[in-house]
Amino acid sequence: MKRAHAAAAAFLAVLALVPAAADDFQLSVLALIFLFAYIGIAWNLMMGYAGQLSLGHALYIGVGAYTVAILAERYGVTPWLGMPVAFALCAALAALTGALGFRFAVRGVYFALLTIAFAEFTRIVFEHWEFVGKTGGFFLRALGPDNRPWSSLRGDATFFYYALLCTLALGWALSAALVSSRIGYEWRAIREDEDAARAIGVRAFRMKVLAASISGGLTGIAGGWFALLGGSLFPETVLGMRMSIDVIIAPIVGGLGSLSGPILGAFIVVPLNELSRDLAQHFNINGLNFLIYGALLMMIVLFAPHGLWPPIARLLRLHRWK
Amino acid sequence: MSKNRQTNRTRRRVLAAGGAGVALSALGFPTVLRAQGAAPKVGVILPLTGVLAFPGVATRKGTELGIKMLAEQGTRLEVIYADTESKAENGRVAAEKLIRDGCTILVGAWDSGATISAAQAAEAAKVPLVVNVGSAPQITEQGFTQVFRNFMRSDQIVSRGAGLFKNMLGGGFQPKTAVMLHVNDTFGQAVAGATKGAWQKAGIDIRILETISYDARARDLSVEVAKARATGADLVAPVTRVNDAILIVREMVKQDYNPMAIYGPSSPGPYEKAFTDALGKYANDYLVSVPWYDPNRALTKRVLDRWTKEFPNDRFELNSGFGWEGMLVVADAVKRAQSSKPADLHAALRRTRIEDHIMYGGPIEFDPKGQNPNIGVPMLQVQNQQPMVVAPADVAQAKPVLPMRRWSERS
Amino acid sequence: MSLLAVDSLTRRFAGLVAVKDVSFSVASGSITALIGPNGAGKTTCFNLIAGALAPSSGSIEFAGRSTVGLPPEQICARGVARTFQIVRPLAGLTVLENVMVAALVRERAVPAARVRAQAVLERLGLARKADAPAADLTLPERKLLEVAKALATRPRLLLLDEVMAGLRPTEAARITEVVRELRAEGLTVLLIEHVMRVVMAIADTVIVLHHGEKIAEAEPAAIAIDPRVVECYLGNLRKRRG
Repeated sequence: MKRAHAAAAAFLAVLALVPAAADDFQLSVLALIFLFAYIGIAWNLMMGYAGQLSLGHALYIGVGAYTVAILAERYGVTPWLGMPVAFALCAALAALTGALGFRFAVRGVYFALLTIAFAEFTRIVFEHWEFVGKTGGFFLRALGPDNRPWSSLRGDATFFYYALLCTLALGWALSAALVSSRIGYEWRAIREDEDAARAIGVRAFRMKVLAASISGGLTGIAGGWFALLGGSLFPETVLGMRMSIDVIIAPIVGGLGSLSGPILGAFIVVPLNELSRDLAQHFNINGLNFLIYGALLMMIVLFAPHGLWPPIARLLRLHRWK
Repeated sequence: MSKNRQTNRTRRRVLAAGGAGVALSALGFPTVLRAQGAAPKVGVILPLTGVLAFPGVATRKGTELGIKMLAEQGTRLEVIYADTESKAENGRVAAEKLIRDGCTILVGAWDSGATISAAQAAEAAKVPLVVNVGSAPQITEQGFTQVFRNFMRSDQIVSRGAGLFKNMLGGGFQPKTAVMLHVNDTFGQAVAGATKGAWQKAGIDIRILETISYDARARDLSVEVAKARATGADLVAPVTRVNDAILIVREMVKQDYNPMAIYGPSSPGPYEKAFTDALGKYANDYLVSVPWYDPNRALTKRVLDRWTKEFPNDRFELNSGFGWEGMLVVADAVKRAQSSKPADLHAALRRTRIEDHIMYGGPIEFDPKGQNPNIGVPMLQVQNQQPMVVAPADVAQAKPVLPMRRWSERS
Repeated sequence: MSLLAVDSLTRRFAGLVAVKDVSFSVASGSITALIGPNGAGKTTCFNLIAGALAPSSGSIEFAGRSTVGLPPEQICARGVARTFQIVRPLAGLTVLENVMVAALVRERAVPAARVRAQAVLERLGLARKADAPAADLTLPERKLLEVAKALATRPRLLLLDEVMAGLRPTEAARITEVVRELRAEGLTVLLIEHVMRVVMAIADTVIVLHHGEKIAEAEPAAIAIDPRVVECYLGNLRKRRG
């Protein structure tokens, strides 16, 4: 345990110093890595710990993004407040989605289908809802010269680097506290065998709703960052199926059921994506990047079916580091 | 067993090494030094893969031709492309990467979402962004200082089109009612929404009986067309992309629905080669108002000739045209700035005034918001399976055929 | 005083009555055995008592309160713990973690649960496997883990479903010993068992089920000579031979 904490502290220290030596592009890629690692951790609480597969996390990305953006742009509410609102709203939505599914004992793939249905339903609602700009999208105003990043939560690459690093660190810390608490044990018991878990007193329904709700809430905050980073929101891009898939690749590649897996996964997946795009550009073949990216992902899944973190943890003798 | 494990481990090691290499090179430090004073590097952001790849690649071809032709006239531009994969959120990272690689002026990004996302990075780095295609009003309304758009706002395209359409009414062509069909995406909603108001403003006395929307991924529009047919409207106004435009016409032929005209208020599609190839004689008489090249200018003729040589299988159209002009705008600014510094290029772009260009409309210049206010919209009609300018009269290549011929009377 | 009282318990599955009008009670501090041929409805009875299945009709009272309609986790919280005949370890967790999850029903804090879980493992002789993944255990060890999980919930009534089956004599003896000790500490035990030697040795009362119905209830010595019981077992034997 000590060894792991020391490693984590050293890792954080190195990351804090990176901006001194990196350019904007590198910082942006790193910021994206942090963002995807954070979402991966949030999604993994539900999948990797509580064993509930969600293929509809775009719902929380989208709702979080629109919440933060609309509050800021239309009502002048600082994202400092918008983020907690996004968290609360998404946590409530996730609790509702989860409660509906779990109450009627929808399990496994069928639960996953239900999560897709909720996300798609929301996307369609947003595409027809005047208030959020329909398919025309929602846009944030350009930053003026008097912008103060730590108050508007928007800024340059260095700002987003630190902001997302903090988000990741906080998300990690909260999740670490959760999974090492009673709740984490109960989640993992449900993941392994829900009926056996209930027989030894695990309140499965409550715990699953809790997992969904925390996962959804944390993902809502990530959605807020999506809005602040890009400045433009469309139902199709933030609420679409593609988003739901994009955010689960890192935790799957890194390994489910650990907090380090999604982080490692994001550090592999995001740069891999950039690199394959570079190669496609270099050889001037559109779409080559998808081939390379897909092939590499396939190799990882083939050779490390449980993700890359478990073998690496063994190598570093960190196997107790969950 | 043990041998197996060993190979496994070796594989793992190779994989790990590969992964490290990947991470290093993707995040590696810029190898290119930024040379000031020399030809600036131009970063072009486009959707080259994904759902928007088709128009994205057409824009790229126009861009490439522009680079070639401008180089022959003495302005050499070094261009680096970045692919957004049709994802809006990739605009920002793509812009930052191009800036990192030494680009001091950006061009892009075809779709409005990616453009706004790229504009965030351009704004932060104070690098000008020339918008080649991208019609959301917000691009020039959100307070960006680095954006220069040589494209029209969607609402303006619609209102200019309405003005032209109004002038075509009269004589034997006087539709009283219309039915609108539109694709239910960002663009379709915007255009359909703007059309009603624009027609009223232009004084077009046509009642829109019904507005029928359909999903962007629809494979079959028979129900929608049957609904439209049931209204008995004199005019069909579809807001489409290519595939759905083809589906609609096919269904109209199948259901023998013969309105007085089909008129798309700002629809990319009917002028595409894919449309005319797929529909043959049934493609004819379809009207559409979009920004288009001015067929009568000498420069346009040169570009068209050259295009036919370089890309004999593709049609030069709106996307390739504005791709080409994007490079013209950049080359012009570079020539005047005599510098590759972003600030100098920005100042030069502000003073842009290009009389001799290819797209229909007045000289290219930018208002304080960065919008070119002089772009014009002609009326096109497909005739002999080619898009032809039929209005306004000063640029028309042919006379409009109105009302359109019945499907059964075509040969 | 009876801790568990089952009255007219019936459970139907599609076209089949698995448990039919069964009534019995389990005295506080006793060891009661539930026996009968395969398919007699013993495990279904357990599932009904533990809340894994809902009865079609009839009542179940634990410590004077009805448990019908309660989910398994609440019945567990009230003090009924069960083992599964087909063992169900939480395979991805270590042995210790398995038992800790169970201990957490009573001990709210993780460290306290760990201490308790370790004590239970110690008692069952599984302590040296504490950090092994549960998936790595042998079958006898998995049986012990089932008991450990059940015990860690600090039950008042322990339902043991064929925990001796497949155990080596030494291991079976250890469990028998532990069950005796637990009873001495005040725990009530209801067990399903095929190993008659064990039943005869530790049960105070034996209940015999056949085709879902209770056909006998008596102390072990009386059961051994009950003609209906002999008939049902022998009948089975004859059928098998035939």
